[in-house]
Amino acid sequence: MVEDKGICVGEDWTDAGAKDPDTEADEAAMFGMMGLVGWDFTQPGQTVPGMRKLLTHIWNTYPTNPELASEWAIYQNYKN
Amino acid sequence: MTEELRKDIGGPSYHPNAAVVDGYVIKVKGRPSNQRCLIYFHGGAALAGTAEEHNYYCWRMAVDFDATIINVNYRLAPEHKVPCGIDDGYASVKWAIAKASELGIDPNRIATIGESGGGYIVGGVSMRLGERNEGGLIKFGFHLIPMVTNAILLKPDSELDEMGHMMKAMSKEIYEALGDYSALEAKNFNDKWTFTMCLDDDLCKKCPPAVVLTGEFDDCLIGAKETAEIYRRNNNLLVYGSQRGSHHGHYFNPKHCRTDAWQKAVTEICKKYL
Repeated sequence: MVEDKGICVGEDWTDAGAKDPDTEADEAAMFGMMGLVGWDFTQPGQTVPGMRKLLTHIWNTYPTNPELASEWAIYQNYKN
Repeated sequence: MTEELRKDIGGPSYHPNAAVVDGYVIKVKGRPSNQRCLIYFHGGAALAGTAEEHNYYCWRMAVDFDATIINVNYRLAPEHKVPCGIDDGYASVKWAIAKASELGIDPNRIATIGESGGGYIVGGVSMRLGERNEGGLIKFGFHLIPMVTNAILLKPDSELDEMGHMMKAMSKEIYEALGDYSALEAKNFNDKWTFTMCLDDDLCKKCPPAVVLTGEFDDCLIGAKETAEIYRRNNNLLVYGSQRGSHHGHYFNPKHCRTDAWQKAVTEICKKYL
């Protein structure tokens, strides 16, 4: 097997050393959601009860969350 | 698009520890039979999520890759411990091969693909195939942002930042759900069916080739790198990529600035090697 090094090349696949603004925004939203359910990771030894509930919540809200409606519409276009 | 719910995927006919599970067979309308096929394992840390919730991404894959997607509802922890999900995944591969004609797929153009917890399932299925000398049954295992490493559990709290504390806390909960945490700890977290990057070289050589894609700031980056390195040193790595500036699962967000480039690479890989 010869590794194909010709596909993941270029600017998109070169470490930047900094997060994209979109990444910052997505992660802020994620931490915001965790804060809403009472998770705090500023100190070690925290527990995370209800992980299934949180992960399920994230996925379940995708097609129904009004704030994500425009993103969802893009995927609907693939279905149709 | 056609989206058929199947309730007869896999089961003990294909692996003694597998259950018959349901899932979706997703096709683009009007495509010929004998299509290439990707068997998809959704994310959710192998303890959450459903196939149905991820059908939307499978629609995109079906169109972009010009392929049939089989989106499998493998069993989840904690009700079903390691390696139940892996064995369901293995059985789903064997089922797809056995039912290829009925499904309208080419049995010689099948691959697995999964993200995060589903990437862990991909790794486990590859090992099941490898240990049975069946690595050639699929073209490759596509490990997307795979959740496979023990690294965070082995790292002292004093070396962790806020994200590290979060990942360690989440990892503890995940692995307490997936298996017997005390037993895992006693073995220094090196159980390959739980942490698939722990596979040995002899087994790796017999696994299907690996494609590993991750992100520069992916929470699971270490495991992706470890997986790629094991497959690389055994001459069994097809493609590795780490996308600039991105985080875990960024590509589900169609507006993320790197999503198009990500999807372009994934599509090129699938069309070129499947």
